[in-house]
Amino acid sequence: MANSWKSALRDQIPESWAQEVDTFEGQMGLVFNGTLEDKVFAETRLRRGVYGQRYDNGKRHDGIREQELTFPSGEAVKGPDTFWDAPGMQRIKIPWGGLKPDQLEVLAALADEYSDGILHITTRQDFQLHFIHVEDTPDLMRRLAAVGITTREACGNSVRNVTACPLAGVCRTEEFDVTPYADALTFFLLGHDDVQDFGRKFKIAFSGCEHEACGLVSMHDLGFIARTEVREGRTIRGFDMYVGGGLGAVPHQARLLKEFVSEEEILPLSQAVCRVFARLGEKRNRNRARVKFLVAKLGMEEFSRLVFEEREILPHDDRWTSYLDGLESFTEQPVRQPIAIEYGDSDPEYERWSATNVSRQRQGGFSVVHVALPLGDLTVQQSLDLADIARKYVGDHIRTTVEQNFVLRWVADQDLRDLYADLKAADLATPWAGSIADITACPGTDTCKLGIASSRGLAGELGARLAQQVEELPPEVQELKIKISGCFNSCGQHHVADIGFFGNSRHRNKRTVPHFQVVLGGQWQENAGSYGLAVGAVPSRSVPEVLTELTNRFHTDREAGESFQSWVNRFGKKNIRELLKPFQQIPLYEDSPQFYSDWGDPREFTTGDIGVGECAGEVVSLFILEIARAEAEVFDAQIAMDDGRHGEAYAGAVQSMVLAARALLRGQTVDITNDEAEIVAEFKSRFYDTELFFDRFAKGKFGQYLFKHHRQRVEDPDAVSAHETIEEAYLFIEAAHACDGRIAAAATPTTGGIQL
Amino acid sequence: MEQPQRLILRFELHGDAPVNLDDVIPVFHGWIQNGRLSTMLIDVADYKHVEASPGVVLIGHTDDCGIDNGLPQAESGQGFHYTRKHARLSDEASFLERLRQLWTNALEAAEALEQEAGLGVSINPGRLQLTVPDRLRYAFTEANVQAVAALVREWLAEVFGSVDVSVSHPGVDERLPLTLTVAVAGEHSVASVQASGN
Repeated sequence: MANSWKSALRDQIPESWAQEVDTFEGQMGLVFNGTLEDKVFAETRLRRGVYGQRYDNGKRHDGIREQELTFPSGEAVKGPDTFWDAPGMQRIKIPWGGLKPDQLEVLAALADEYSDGILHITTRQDFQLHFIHVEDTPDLMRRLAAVGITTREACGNSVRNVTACPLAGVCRTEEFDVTPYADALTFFLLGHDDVQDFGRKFKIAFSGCEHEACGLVSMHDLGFIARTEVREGRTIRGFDMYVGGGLGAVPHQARLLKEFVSEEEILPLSQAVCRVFARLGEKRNRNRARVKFLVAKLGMEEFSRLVFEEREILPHDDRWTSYLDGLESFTEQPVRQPIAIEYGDSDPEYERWSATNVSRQRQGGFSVVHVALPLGDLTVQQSLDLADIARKYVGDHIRTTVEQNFVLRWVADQDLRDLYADLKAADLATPWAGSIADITACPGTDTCKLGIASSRGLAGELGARLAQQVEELPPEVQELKIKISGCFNSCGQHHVADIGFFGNSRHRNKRTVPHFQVVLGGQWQENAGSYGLAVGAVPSRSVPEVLTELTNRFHTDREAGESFQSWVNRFGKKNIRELLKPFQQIPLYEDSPQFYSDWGDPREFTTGDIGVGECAGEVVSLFILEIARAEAEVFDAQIAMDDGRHGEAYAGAVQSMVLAARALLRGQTVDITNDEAEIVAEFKSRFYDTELFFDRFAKGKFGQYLFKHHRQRVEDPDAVSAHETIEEAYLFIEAAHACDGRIAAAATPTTGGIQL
Repeated sequence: MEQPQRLILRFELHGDAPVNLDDVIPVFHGWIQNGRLSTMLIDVADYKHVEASPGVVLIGHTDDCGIDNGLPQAESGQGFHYTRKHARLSDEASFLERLRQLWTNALEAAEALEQEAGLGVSINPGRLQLTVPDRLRYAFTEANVQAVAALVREWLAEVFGSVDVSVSHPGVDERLPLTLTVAVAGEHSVASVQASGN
């Protein structure tokens, strides 16, 4: 019997992959004995998908006080401010979401043996396992490698998982199956020399069609939309290539790099994009390091020129086209052929599930089954059951989705009822996939170091409530999409939901109150065709009522055939703001203490020693009064934006940042005029240079927004620059709130308060 | 025998009334605040939204515990589960010694849980499941089942004395971790086992 996974799997792992894992294991030894610098090891492990997790700095606020987590390995670290023994997260790349039953079984075993028995699907078709010890990761990687999965470049400043439409190859509206192309680019760029020197991560997606949500190309650093052309009577395949999209704090829409790039050219042209990004992309300031900032800085014309110039001098690589010989190998074969069958009486439960979880394939007689997972989670047993079900009905044809679900493809229609029964037995037959009840959420404060509010807690609460009533909701409400992020970084993809939320906080009455910013009107279709805009923050506990109010108003006010996005635009953000107002009130702690804790987490955000009924709780600070002016200003900027008055929108957004800076100064009773230069100078010296304004992770990023526009206004701003500046203004205002909260918490003579 | 990297005990709960997992979350957070257990506690993981899942889990450095929402089999009720992550410990303890330590720690947590009056939890230490999630050293094979079952009988004889102990397993499946189901004759409670000093 082998006594280690390394020896047990020696013959099952590709030599190069085995070597990589051995090297990583060796580096672990070096860092543990102090030979390898911790920050170097941090990037090394990130590039193997070994990620930090909340509290890994050895500190955790337990709701009363900050506790020190004293790990047995003492001061040993696996990165700056990250203790060696602290539990972490392992991200596992699943290229284009393609998964086989044996791979699912290994993932289940890993969850069992190294994690806490739960597998989690992410918004990039990856898996994540939580509470993993770093020393378990080499064996974990070996076991994955033995079934053809690598975690290489799952995190870090690298090419992340290449995603693709989960319906690729069976979709009724696609041009052609993009799967082999996504696969080819994945393995062409994996570990490629030209993608090792990025300043930031790089995300790629493939779409088979232009007008569906498909691969969500518009929100990617590099995206491909399938196209065909007929030349000399022959159908030629190619892609429209887009570049410079991304969500994050300030979302950008990708721009067209080139129409119809032939299938022979997509790999070299991608390589050229990567080379330009590696050479010219920002390296020092990670907040400006995504390729979207490089495209914005250079302009699309110059960026394109550089890319095509680079393409011309690339040394030839046979791999650019060799994959084309293997396209046919991606053609999927069904396990069972369809046959005509007469069904007996209908089962209402099956019918309900079938209506939302089954879609017809392009291939007659076959269907795609959507397996909805609550919050993207499933157990070890469910994973094994699903592997069995896949083998029985569809073979290897499982895919993960960016909505944190699975799809089973090539289900012969006559098998649907039996498949449903098997899924039901495995507790995997949750109906309403893709509906308002099927909510996407990032990990948020559950495990993410950057999370501000509990995105999973909120999603769980909304999901449970909606599951009870979704059947009675009007169809136009059933179809809405809700996506939730724990902070402004958009991992929950809130910008592209009909109704999005991202976590933030407000300081009131000497306590911190979890909030969610409401983001409305994002577009999922058209490859994430447009982004929603923030309309106001509400206490976390008020979100369910806000959702009810919004959906009720949409239902009653909607014109025939009107989409939610169109309704938001017609109803107007001003009216929506009025609609939100009643829900923005924060009751006194003594009246409603639950407002001061988050969904699913009973810890109080603050536990300040405030006596019952203390009047100080009703005092409104100068900051609160002044920041309201900033919020009004940015809101008016949004209205101007909606009306096409881009210049006014831009000016209003900048002014709102100035007002927010002034609010902070007034909050500290600084005697200040309305002169912008004076405000900016005072803000810089008192809040920026002192780092009081700094976000724990984004550092001075948000302050830079103000300085940038103060230094030089954008001349003749267009819709894009106005929109981006409004987003920046919102983030600046949020940062001002957070800064005020930190100052107030520091001034409160108690040990209470969540540290942001 | 080889040392397993991880062991899990799962006890059945007495009674029919299900434990509301929403109520367990603040209890576990309270345990972290108060250092209720002798092991290092880190955080609370909430999986109650997943059917037949670990439910609500108190995550520690060497030990996790929690109340699940039933096993995958429909007839199963909730259970209290306790995991000892030996890979996180550098001790050279034998398999049997690891079982003893697992038992001691699990009973400490079980007792603490029963003392949370608001939960109404009552744990049956005489109905348990032992899982060895270590597919390298303890694949779910008939040979391994027999070896571990012998060890379990030896261990439980120390705990319960000379009472009948029935050890069974749900059917060998090498994809699953090795799991044994144990029934100890007679009525047992956490308090009675603690009082017996074993």
